[in-house]
This record gives sequence, C-alpha cells and structure tokens, in this order.
Amino acid sequence: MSGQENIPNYLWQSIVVTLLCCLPLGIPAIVFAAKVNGLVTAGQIEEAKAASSKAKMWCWLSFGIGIVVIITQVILQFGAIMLAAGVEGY
Amino acid sequence: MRCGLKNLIVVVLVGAAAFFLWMVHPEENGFIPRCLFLQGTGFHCPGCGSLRAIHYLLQGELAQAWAMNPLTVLLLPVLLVVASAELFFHRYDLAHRIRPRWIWLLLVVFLLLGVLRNLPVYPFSLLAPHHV
Repeated sequence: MSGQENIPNYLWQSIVVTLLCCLPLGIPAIVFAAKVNGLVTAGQIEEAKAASSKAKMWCWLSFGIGIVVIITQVILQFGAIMLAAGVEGY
Repeated sequence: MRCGLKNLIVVVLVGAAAFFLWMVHPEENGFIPRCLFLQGTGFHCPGCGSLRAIHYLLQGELAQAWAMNPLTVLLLPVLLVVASAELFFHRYDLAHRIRPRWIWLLLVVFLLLGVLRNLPVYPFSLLAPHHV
C-alpha cells in the first residue's frame, strides 16, 4: 500500500498534449498511463514507477515538440504579417 | 491544499491562456497558427478543433463548442477535476481509480474519431469541426 498513491500516471497531461500538441507522441503517453493504473492495481509498484516515468517522458516529448512547432509558426507568421505591412507602407 | 510557486505559475498561465482564448477567436486571429498536421495533410486529427471548442465554451456557446470537437467538450471537465486534484492536493490516487479498460476505450475512441471525422459522408462529416 505504501507509496502507490504517489505514483502519477500522467493521464491528464497525456490527454492534453494529445489534443493540443502532438498526437503521435501523445498516444504512447496514454498507453503508459493505462499501464500505470493496471500495475498499481496489481500491486506491482516498481513496474508502475517505471511505466510512470515513461509516460512522463512521452508527455514532455510531445509537449516540447508541440511548443517548438507552434512558436516557430507564430514567429514565421508574425514575420510575414510585418513584411506585408512593410510592403503596404512603402 | 498546497500553494507552491509552481501552482501559482500554473494558475497564472492557465488563466492568461483562458482570458486570451475567451477574447480572440482562433480562426480570425492571424497570430494563432493552424495545426501543422492539418496544413500538411488536410486531415482532421482527433484533437482538431480543440482550441476553437475551448474558445466557444468560454464564450458560453456549448452547441458551437460541441460542433468543433465533441471529445474535447466531454473530456475537459474530467481533465480539470483530475488535474486540480493532482496539482493542488497531490491526490494521484484519483487518476488510479480510472480502470485501464476505460483508458484503452478512450484510445479506441481517439483513433475511430480520427478516421470517421475525415469521411466526407453526411453523418460522419458532422464530426469534423464545423459551424452550426
């Protein structure tokens, strides 16, 4: 019983990144979240911790790639808008 | 309840994002980029329309939010409850109570939605982001 309530399964994080960031990398995160729950129920705490850290890794990977792509797009779009405004201005 | 700096940052960031999304419409604002996946393939992924759905939810237009992405509308309350429990109360056991079979079912729904909403046939085309 000890410690099992402190193992995050990263379920909500993996759903958020799947919906808003990067679908292909969010799916494995959800898979590992499901595994955490199964392992916690079975009392396999060490295995649950391992699955939890894998879920965490996929969440951060998806979040990181999503954020980099979105920021790059915003910068490019901002540049394009500024450029268009400059062309119109002169 | 834990009121660490991390939680304060989360609340401020989420609040700012919600305020921004409440104010601006993702389709009409030139600075919010279209998803790279949508631009590249032309397909709607299961998450497509999530930002617009949240925008309409914040504006109180439930039917329009549903038309953008029904899955996001259904999942958002659950996500808010679980995320709050974990962030503010360190109650990781709440998410443990969700049986693995429900998470597997969610994955199946995800993949099915990803296929069905791209079919250009009547009942399925309602699953793609659209205006009501």
